Formats: sequence, C-alpha cells, structure tokens
Amino acid sequence: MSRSASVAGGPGAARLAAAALPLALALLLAAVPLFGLGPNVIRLLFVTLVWVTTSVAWNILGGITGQVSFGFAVFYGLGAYTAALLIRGGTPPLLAFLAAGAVATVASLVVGIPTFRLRGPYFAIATIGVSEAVRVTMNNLAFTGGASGYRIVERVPFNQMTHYYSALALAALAIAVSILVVRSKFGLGLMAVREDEDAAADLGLNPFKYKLLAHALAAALTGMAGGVFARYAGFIHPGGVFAFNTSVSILLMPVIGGLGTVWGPVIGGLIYGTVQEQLVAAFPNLHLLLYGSLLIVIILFEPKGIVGLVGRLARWAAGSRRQAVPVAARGASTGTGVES
Amino acid sequence: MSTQRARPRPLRRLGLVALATGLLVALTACGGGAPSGSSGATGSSGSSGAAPQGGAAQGGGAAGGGEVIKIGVVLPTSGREAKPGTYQWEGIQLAIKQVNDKGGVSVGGKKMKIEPVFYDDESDQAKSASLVERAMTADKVVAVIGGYSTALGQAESVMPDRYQVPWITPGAAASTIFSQGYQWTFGTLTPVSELGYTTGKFLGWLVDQGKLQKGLKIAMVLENTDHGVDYGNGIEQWLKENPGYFTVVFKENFELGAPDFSGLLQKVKNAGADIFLSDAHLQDYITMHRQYVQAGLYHQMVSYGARGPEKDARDALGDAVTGIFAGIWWSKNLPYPQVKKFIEDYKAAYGREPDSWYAATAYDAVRALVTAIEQAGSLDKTAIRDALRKVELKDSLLPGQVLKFEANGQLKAPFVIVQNKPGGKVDIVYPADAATGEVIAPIPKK
Repeated sequence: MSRSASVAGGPGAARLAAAALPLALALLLAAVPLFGLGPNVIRLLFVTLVWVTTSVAWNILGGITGQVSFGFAVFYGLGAYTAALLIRGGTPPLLAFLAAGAVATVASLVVGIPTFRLRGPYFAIATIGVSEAVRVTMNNLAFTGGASGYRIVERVPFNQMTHYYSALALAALAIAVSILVVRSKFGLGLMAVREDEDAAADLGLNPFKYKLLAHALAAALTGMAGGVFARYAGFIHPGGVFAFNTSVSILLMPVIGGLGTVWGPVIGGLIYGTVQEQLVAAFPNLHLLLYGSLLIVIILFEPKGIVGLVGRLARWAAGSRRQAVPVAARGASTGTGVES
Repeated sequence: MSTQRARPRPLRRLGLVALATGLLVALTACGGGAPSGSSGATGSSGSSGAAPQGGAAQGGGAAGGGEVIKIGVVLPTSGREAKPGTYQWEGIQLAIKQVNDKGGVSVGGKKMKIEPVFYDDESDQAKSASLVERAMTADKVVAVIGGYSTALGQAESVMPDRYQVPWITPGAAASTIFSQGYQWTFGTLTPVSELGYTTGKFLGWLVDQGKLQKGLKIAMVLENTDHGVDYGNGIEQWLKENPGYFTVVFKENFELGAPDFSGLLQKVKNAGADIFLSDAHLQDYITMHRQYVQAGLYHQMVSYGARGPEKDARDALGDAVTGIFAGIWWSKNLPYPQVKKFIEDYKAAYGREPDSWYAATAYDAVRALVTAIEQAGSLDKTAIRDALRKVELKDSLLPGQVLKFEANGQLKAPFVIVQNKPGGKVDIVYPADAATGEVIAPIPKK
C-alpha cells in the first residue's frame, strides 16, 4: 500500500503529525462548551459533523471500493425517518440512532443485491433511479406524513449540546471505522475491487460480496447521520432528506477533500459544512456555482482533492519536488492506495 | 496494490470532466432559478432581495448607526416559490419603510427604527429552517417573519419555541403548524380548512341562486401536503353538513411541484365531473391549467384553491384563466380606505399593483409586530410574544378589517371569493355584500 507520507520532516514526523492532529482536533471539538460559543456556532459545527459522517461513509463505497453511488439520500432519509418515528414514539435517541443505522443497512442490501450486478455508470444510474423511487414512495406514505413531512416531538426540552455531542461521537465513529477499514485485509479487498474487479475475482475475492459489505457499512453510518440530523431538525420531509441534491452533496465532499483517502472526506465535510452554511446565507444560488466550479477545478487539476494538494505542497515545501512528481502522478490515478 | 499508472489516461480524465460537468448541472438544477423581477441572491442585514423601485425599503431601512430593532425575514425569493415570496418581501419592506419614515417604533418613549435581516431560503425547507435558526441565534432579532408557503412554514415552525423568539408567518396556514401547542408561533393567514369550507359554501350559494343545478359532481385534486389535506377536509366538511348539494366523484393527490399533470387530468376527464376543484400553489396552478386547456377539459366551475387571479397566470395562459374562481385571504377590490391607500403606496414603491393576496398579509404581519412591540414597551421577546397575543389591529387590510390572533396563534378572518373576468379583470363575487361584480356561473363553454 502506498502511503505518501513524505512530508517535511520525514516519515517519522509525518506519522506523529498524522496521529496528533486528529487527536488535537477531537479534543478541541469535545471542549467546545469551554469556549462559550453561541448557539449559531454550535449549530454550524453540528451540521458540519453530520456532513463529515456522511462524507466518510460514502467514501467507503465510492472512494475505497470505487463504486460511485448517487443514491445515498435513500439511507440518509430512511435513517432520518426511522429515528424520527422511534423518538416520537418514546424510544431513547441512542437506540433510535442504532435502529436508523440498522434500517439503512437492510435497505443497502435491498438496493445493493440487484444494482451491484451492474458496473460503472450503469450502477450509478441505477442508484439515481432507486433514490427517486424511494422519494416518490415516501411522498405518498401516509403514516410518515407523506410529502407534508414528519414532526419530531420530544418530551425533553431542546438541549443543543446533546445534539452536538451526538454528532461528534458519530463522526468520530465514522472516522474510526474508515481507519479500520483501510488498515484491514477487508479494506485491501475493497481496494482490489476498485482497481480491477475481474483481477480481484481471479485472485479469489468475491467482488459482489465486498461491494455489498462496503455498501452496508456506508449505509449504516449514513443512516445514523440521518437520524442524528432528524432529531435536531425537529421536522423532516421527503423533499429534503431524500432529495437528489442531498445525494449529490454527500458525494461532493469526498471528491473535494480527496477520494479514497481517510482524511480527505473529513476535510471535504468540514469545508462543505462550514462554507456552505455561510454561502447559503450570503449568496443563495451562487454557492451552487462556486461548488460546481470548485469541483471542476479539483477534478481537472487535483483529482486527489485537497489531501492530494496538501501533499503536493508539502513535498514542494520540502524541496523534493523533483522526486515528488512520480508520487503525485501516482496519486492522480484515483486509486493507487490510501493516503492519510 | 498496483501503482503502475503514472498519469490519468485521457479517457479517464474525459470521464472525470463529464462527471464534474454533470454534477455542476445537477447542483445548479437543484437550486432552482431566480425569478424575473428579482435580484435573487441577497445577503443579510438590510440588504434587498427584490429591491423596490425607488429603493423603498432602503430609504427608511437602517437607523444610520443609532439603536435599531432587528427583525428577521426568511422568504423564498428564488426557486419554486420565488414569485409569492418576493411579493411578500415587498409587502414587508413597504411596511418597514412606512414605520421608519414616521420616525420608527415607539419603545418605552424612545423611537427606534426597524432593520430587516433578510434571507432567501431558495424555496428549500431545510434551508428555510436553518436560516430562521440562524436569524434567531446569530442576528439578535426580536422576531422573525417568514414561511411562505405551508411546506416552508412547517419546517420553520420548529424554531420559535426552541429559541423563544416570536415568529409570524404571513404565508403558511396549515392546521398542523398551529395545533402543536407552540407558544411563539403566529400566522396572518386564516386556516386552509376555512378556505375549503368557504369554497363549498360559495358553490352551495350558487345552487341556491339557481346558477348551478343541485347534485352536480365534483372532481377534486389536492397537492399532497397538509395544505391539500386541510383544503379537502374543509370542502368535505361543508358537503357533510349540506347533503344533496354535490357529490365528490373523484379525489386524488398530486405531488407539489410536479412537472406533468396530464395523467391526473386524464383521470379527471374520465370521472365525468361537473366541477373541478384543485388545491395548488402558483407554479402548479399554471402548469396544471395549461395542461387542462390542452387536454380540452371543461367544467362548469373551476378553482385552484387560493390561486387564480395572479398576473403571472394571466400572462402565461391569457384568457384561458377567465372564469376561474379562488378563495383568497385578501383582494385589492376590498372596499376599505386602508386597502386603497396600501395599493397606492405599493404602486408608488414598486410601479405596479400588488398581485393577489401575498403582499397584504406580509404587510399586516409587520404592522401587527410593530403594534405588539409598542404595546410591550420593550424589546424583551417574551413581552413582545405576550403583546402579540393581545394585538387587535383594527385597520387591518384583511377581510373584516380586524387582525387578531386566536389562542393557537392563527388569525381567523373571512375569505373572499374572487373570479377572473374577461380582459384581465378580477371581481369579488362572494360574499354578496362585498361583491364588486356578478358571478359568472356556469363558465361558458369556449
């Protein structure tokens, strides 16, 4: 596995930074109440952490396994509705979130078993179709409120920090799962499927099974994220949580941050979550153009996203640009391993 | 793992560009378009989304560095609901300008000007709720006016009680918003179920007048939202209380914002009904009626709920909208002096008359809030909320001329039924004592 850890200071320093930075970030985020931040900042952080979770989750299937799905709104929405129904029924939120993940997992199998018979763009198109079908179904499902939406009524008073810590814990779980996956034999199998499905099968792997498992894992995390979001929003509707642009947003973040990497989707989620909130308020509609332009620039010039760009800049700063060229080029082939 | 490929192959790069372009198109499409006549994107404090001609709102907007009262405004001025949202924003700006031009709001003996903090929610429910939350938590507003339409208002309505900031919706009327026991939620629209009930009453009155026969068949198509549910319930309630007048032979829901209603209209045709009642928002009304005409449908009476007299529909469909009747919360034909003055002021500010009811309910929302702040005598949100509960605006623009919130926070004023007449004219045709023209019933076959 190629790990382009050749940042300034050598591999040792890079490893130390790779371990210390996430820990510092986690501690910083956990200590948020100490900073006396206002509810608007906490809201921003909450939304960002939910996006980080979905971004990391999608990356397990799209980045590490190489299966581009436009249908993750299905799992996000099902998770949101499952949690909403259970919480309104009096189920403790933690159990409701777990149930949200379980329902999304089952849905991933229902979606995955037929669609993973398809490959490449055909799979991607099929996921769009499934997503749209689920949205229309939910629009007409009476017990979830149909297109009118569903209101989550909790007996306990609203406590923003509870929601924030739920999102933080879930994001940490998603990142931990992502790290475990890329460091495991299972992760190697997923990458083998991404690189060449037929060659992987020749080596004795069952690509269908690997894709299905990656899909299930990603769906479980996405479903839980949907549940955490629904509890905070207090009101959900199919046109929002099942919307095609929700799927596109989920896909966009790992692309921005760095597909197939561990930290790329985290960075993508952090950027998308924070920047999007500000842009939506300041420049409605224009933010879509900005994202689109950013996406084109990234895909054209830095397919490994921000993580790739940072790596490239670090190598340049270290004065080893000449040696770095093959590494950068290797990274640009969208699937030559996992960077941190 | 293989690391042999040094550079992306041209085909792969081409594929990536195609993917990126596709995503760009998808993202842009998801965002909807800005309406004509609106500048679309707007920023925050005091910035204008749809700046009126002559800078009406800005003229009296911020207080030039002095102490101001900040009011959050969250409405769609882009996306599917852009037109009505823009009209409501115009009504709000006009009301604020008039208050500011008179020196501002009297708060404990001190005059303070109003500064709107405006956000365009792009007709997106999630953004709508998020922006209301932002206004309430970050912008230090004393109240928020927002929520056109029901769908957007429902999402927003979660926030007022959570952050204990008064919220007045001038464009959402579904009963589900006002039946939650919320304490900080107010609305200047009479419930949609009353709209349905008044529609039934109007049709019954036409039978009593000998203009329609008794026992006619009704086909009902309702948007699949709480708005549609309430409208249908209102009609059915009247039919239940008045048996024998009409029979519902067809009832089906349709998706809000659907691009095509031809299948649904074919079913309506097959139902052989005499009266066609639809509950639709502006864009759906225009799309549906265009397809209605194309399908060669005819009914003795046609209504699209609270939509019908809009200029946009007339511009899009011409004389095809003649005869359509609508139950609306306000009409420019109401014979009150304050209505006439409002129309003059609106025309002076924007160069055109208000289109349908949208601006009026928003205008009165500001006036109710200003009255409440003055009565509260402070900017304390609880005091403002308590004052809103007691507000009685006796020169309201709305039918009945009195704006007073019920215990659930919602207004209960009468509806007026208007009908499109040839040549772009719109008349109030019901109730009879407010009528400005004779009702055309049944609509003549073309």
